[in-house]
Amino acid sequence: MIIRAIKLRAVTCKGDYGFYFTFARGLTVIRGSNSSGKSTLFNCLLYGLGMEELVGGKGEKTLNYAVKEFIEYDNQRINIVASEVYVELENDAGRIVTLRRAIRDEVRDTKLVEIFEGSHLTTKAELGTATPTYLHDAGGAMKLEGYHRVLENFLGLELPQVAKTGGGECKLYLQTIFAALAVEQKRGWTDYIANIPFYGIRDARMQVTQYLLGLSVFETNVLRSRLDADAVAIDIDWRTFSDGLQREVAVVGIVVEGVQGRPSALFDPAHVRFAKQTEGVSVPVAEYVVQLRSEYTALTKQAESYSRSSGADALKVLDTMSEELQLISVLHERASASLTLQRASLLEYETLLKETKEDLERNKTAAKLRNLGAQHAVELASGQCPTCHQHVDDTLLSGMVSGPQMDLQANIDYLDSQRRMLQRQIAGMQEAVRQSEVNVANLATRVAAKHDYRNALRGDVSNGAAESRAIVRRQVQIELEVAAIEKLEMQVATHLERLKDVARRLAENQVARKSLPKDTYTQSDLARISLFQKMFRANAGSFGYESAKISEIEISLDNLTPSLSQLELREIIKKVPQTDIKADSSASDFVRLIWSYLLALYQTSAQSSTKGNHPGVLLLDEPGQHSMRSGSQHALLQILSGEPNLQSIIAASFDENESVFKEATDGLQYKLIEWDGKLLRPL
Amino acid sequence: MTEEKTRLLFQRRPAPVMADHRPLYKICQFLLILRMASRSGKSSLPRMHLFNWAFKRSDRSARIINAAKSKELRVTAWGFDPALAIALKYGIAEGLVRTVSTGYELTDRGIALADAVVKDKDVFGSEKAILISIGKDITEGMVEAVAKDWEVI
Repeated sequence: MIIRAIKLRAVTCKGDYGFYFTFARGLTVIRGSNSSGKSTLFNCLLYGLGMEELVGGKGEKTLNYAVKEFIEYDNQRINIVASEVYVELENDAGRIVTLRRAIRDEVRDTKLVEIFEGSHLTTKAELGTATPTYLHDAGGAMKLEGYHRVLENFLGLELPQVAKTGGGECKLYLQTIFAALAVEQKRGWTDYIANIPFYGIRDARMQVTQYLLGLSVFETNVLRSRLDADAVAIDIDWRTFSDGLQREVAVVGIVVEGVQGRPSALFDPAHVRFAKQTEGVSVPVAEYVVQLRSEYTALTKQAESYSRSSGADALKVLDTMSEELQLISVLHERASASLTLQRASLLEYETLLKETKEDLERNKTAAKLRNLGAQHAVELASGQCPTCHQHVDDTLLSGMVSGPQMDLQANIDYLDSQRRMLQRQIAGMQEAVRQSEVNVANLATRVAAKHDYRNALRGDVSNGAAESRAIVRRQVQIELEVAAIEKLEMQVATHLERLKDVARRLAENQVARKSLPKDTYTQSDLARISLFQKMFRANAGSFGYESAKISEIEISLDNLTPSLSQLELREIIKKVPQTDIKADSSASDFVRLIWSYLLALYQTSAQSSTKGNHPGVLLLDEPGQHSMRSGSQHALLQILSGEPNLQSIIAASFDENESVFKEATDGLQYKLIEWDGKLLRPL
Repeated sequence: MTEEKTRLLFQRRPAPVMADHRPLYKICQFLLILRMASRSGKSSLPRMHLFNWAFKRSDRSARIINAAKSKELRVTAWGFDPALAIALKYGIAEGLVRTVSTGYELTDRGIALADAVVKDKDVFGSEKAILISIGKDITEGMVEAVAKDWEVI
């Protein structure tokens, strides 16, 4: 990204006031004495980029009165009617846009950023139609018309989803990335990437560093969460399909064997068996169909001989049929009763499980509270009486119950095992209920069929017809059942195909999960971090850091900040003895580390072998904090101007001293921006 | 008859304890009552028992929430839990609450611990939800109006 130019336009009753500056593609130095408006220019630039949150606050209140209320010019106070800021940007692909944002305006909201194609500032291109975008509204980073989303696309970045401290996920907002690119002077030099606005992102600084260095952790995390989501979907699909299958076959009283309740990668449709259950005996479906067919043939034969047989035969058949019907009715009744019982006890177990879960939750709360109590020096938290300091039992009613009591952890373990036991019990119970349901449905259809058949037989006996209606009825029943089973076989095939597909997806998911890296950082990540460390040390060396031995400073893998023997390196109060009289205070030495850090982020990201996501811009407001010696400032400016693809804009006062300025910029290639008197002047 | 020496050995296993009876649990619970649902961190004993009783079952807490909305307590009586009484004694000894003429009052230490409990999102989820919906609307007056009827004439 290149910031090409900035323009501020303030409309007053005495004409337009403002400023207009272009920036070099390399180093630009904004020089001005204190209170000359350096920071106003710097903050206007951030505001124009929609990044004023880095200064702390949202909207125009982060800006100086001089750009929104009144201008003091020639000892006159001129009130500002309206003001706006333009920023011209160029991305890596060479596309140029001009941003316009109002600071004070009756009509346009300060949340509106208008984006115009073309370079309005530098080549006076016409302002065409604006694309309106908005910032600071909820979803601004996600919605298409959100300014930060548009800027993200313009910069060719793709910001990852990251974890929030309160659970859940959000985008690694663009403003957090800019905190590592732009450092304002009030708070910016107090820490590495100090100005990350608060969005509740967990380890925000580390995430920003990881992103800028282009580490693969985000990809791994995204991949992992995608696999997790897939696994849930697979589970749901499996349940839907297997339930669908069970339901369909249950209608004709068939049970499925070989389809587990949970998906398994080993699932093979060839091992699935369908069986018809009759009186507790299960017969494979194929065999059952054969049985039905032979009964059908027998009935045909019987029908042929029917006209010749006597009514006595019919009566005999009727008797046996009535007996069978009674038997099945009894079976049906019993099965229904046991199903009701099973359902009731399932319900009971479910209530028990719910209670156990609640109890477990309470106990975990109790354990947490004990830790909390210990932090607040509550003596009971360590099992001591606050009055006599003797041991007390961990129960309030110790006087009322006898015998040993479980301690908290044992209690939690106990409840947890109870919970697991109940869960297993419930799973078994659900399976049993399902089987019973099939059984009851099966028996019910059989009772109905037998009932019809018997009634038909009765008719046959009473009217002595030449053709037995009972036989015909039974034959029709058989035909229907065989047809239903045959139709089912086709439907079942599609179900099994679906289940097989789910099993295949599960296998793929498991393979992908196995190939995820076990450690947080992959080999190439570690290589990047070690390069980052090398760059950091080299920078610190050239800036004259001397509070600690540079070769001992390491980039910690835990939080990616410089550390010395496992401690995050900040200001070192005790210094190594040295002879240099010009020695800086350790506070300025910490600032050197921050320079080194921000620069090393860019340098590592810019290496072609380890290409990261750094946009290639550094904006530093007053980097020479704490009377930084001019040699160090020179080293900084030298490195900045030497980076071919880095645009750096440095605002500095150089201690309001010409010789310091000369020393710091000696022999360097840079563009100088300076002005006499006030920053805002008639345009 | 030969008498064989047989001996049965019983080993007593520790019994589970309700979380409700863990000292810190109960103490923090009443700290929450005082902090979230009592004026200036003070409450009478019957009123604390009322909350404690309401926490135990959801239908009871629903009644209390209703009472807070309608400004009238339609509960004729509630249970007095010895565990709360003991927990209060411990709380006094720990310097988390102190007795005042009208009941109990939070000390600075109590306030600090209560705030830590309030801040922690993982603990007392349902209790906090109940207390938030009640606010400070169950007043001493409402409790007293009911308790007056208990006195034997």
